[in-house]
Amino acid sequence: MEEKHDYFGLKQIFIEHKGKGKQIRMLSVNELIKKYKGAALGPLWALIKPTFTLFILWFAFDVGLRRNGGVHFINDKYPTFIFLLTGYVPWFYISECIIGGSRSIRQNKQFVTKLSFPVSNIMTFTSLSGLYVQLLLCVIMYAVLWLSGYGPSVYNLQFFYYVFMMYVFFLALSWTTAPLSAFSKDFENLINSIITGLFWLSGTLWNTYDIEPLWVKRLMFFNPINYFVNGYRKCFLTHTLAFDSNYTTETVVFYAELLFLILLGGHTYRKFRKILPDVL
Amino acid sequence: MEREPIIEFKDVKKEYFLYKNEKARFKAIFTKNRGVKKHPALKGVSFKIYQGESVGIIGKNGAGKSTILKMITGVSFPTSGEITVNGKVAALLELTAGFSPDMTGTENIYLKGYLLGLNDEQIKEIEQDIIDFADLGEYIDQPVRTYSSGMKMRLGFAININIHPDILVVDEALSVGDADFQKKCRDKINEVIAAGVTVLFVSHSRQAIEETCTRAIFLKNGKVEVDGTVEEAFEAYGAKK
Repeated sequence: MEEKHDYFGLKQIFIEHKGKGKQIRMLSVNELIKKYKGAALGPLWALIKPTFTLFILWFAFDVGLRRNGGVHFINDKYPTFIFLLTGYVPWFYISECIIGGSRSIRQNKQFVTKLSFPVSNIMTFTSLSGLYVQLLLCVIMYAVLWLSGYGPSVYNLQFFYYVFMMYVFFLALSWTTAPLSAFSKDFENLINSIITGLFWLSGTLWNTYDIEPLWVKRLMFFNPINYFVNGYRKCFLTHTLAFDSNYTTETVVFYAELLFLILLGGHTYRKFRKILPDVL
Repeated sequence: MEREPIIEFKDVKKEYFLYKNEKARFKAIFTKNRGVKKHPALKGVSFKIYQGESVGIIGKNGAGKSTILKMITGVSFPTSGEITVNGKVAALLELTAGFSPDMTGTENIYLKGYLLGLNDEQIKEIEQDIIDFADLGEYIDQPVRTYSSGMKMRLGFAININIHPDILVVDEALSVGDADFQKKCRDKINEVIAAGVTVLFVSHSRQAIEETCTRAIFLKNGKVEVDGTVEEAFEAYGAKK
């Protein structure tokens, strides 16, 4: 089973996924059902929870506070609620991926310790189950944006690029975090503690492009969450190209991080794959 | 020309790391397990098993029987040495592993089928056999979480035994359902064995092994003590009890 020419363990992950499409799809749907079982509304809760959060945001900022003239972003001022909406929706998926991804192996222990199962598939179906919710949320978001006068545009199509990259990026992240969390519960707690901080450090609530001084603004390029949160806004609000030349630094940093994560993930996964059944 | 063995162990060693506590575990992520105590479960095990053989594996608790079975089924991996398994393995060990409690019996047949490496066509072929064998009546279309533990085992057994394996791994400690169903299981196992499948049989009962096996391996402290006829193995096992 040992691969002689396995570049950073990536070949192993690739082989483990070959021909497993149906199995992964079935398990991803199952994951969704499992999470909300016992509730009368079932998986609908996956939508109700974030929609409720967004409703509160709308109420607080558009009905309650109403004081400010919105948030400036790239080319224009946008109502606070619209700005938050386009940030929160990707954030729901990102946080789900970071937390759920890191827990995924431990939560699907039986696949590792009792079956001969391609363990890397666990991360794939876990992120996939969250993606269904994200796509539905985006449909709702799109409707709200449309009703608020941010009508359709060709730039909206970039959404598919961002959502795909988001899936890939956080999947690659979980190749590192899931084996480590399965190995040590302390690592899992570490991730859970970081997540709140990450939220405030990312552009969900504020515009990371307008921040002073310059070095902090540049530092923000290193937070990949911003790439997606601001990316959603580029698709739906400002109609900026994903590869616009004004944002080359951000794009390059993001791709460098993605490459790093993929290599690190493959390496970590390979290192831990064979000892996981013994330690779980 | 020599026949290719269906299962081959070449000087297989297995060590388990024993972490003192969670802190030691967390530290081990960064220190490459330096200074962590190890427990050798297998100390260099070699054997060859050929197509159609039925081999009994005996030994006290902790002798390494489960570790060997886990490696043959592909769940666990050796620390060093080489393992070759050529063929589809059906393990009657963890019968209910991989079931999704919220899916129906039929859906679980498919899920488990995929997990065991079958495709839609192959599953469709054996689906009716499984349903007939498990004999769950209308429950087959109910979610598995509503099943009693006996029913779950029956479904699990029915799936595992019907996938047309090349290698059958049986742990005798296995008890499935009531006496009637147990007899049905034993008959089915014997039927599969008669069809020429390779069998690995773990048991403490001399009678059970004598009935099915022609060869036995006696494990002691992670090593093969005797590999020979059932009689030889039990003589050594009995003498050292």
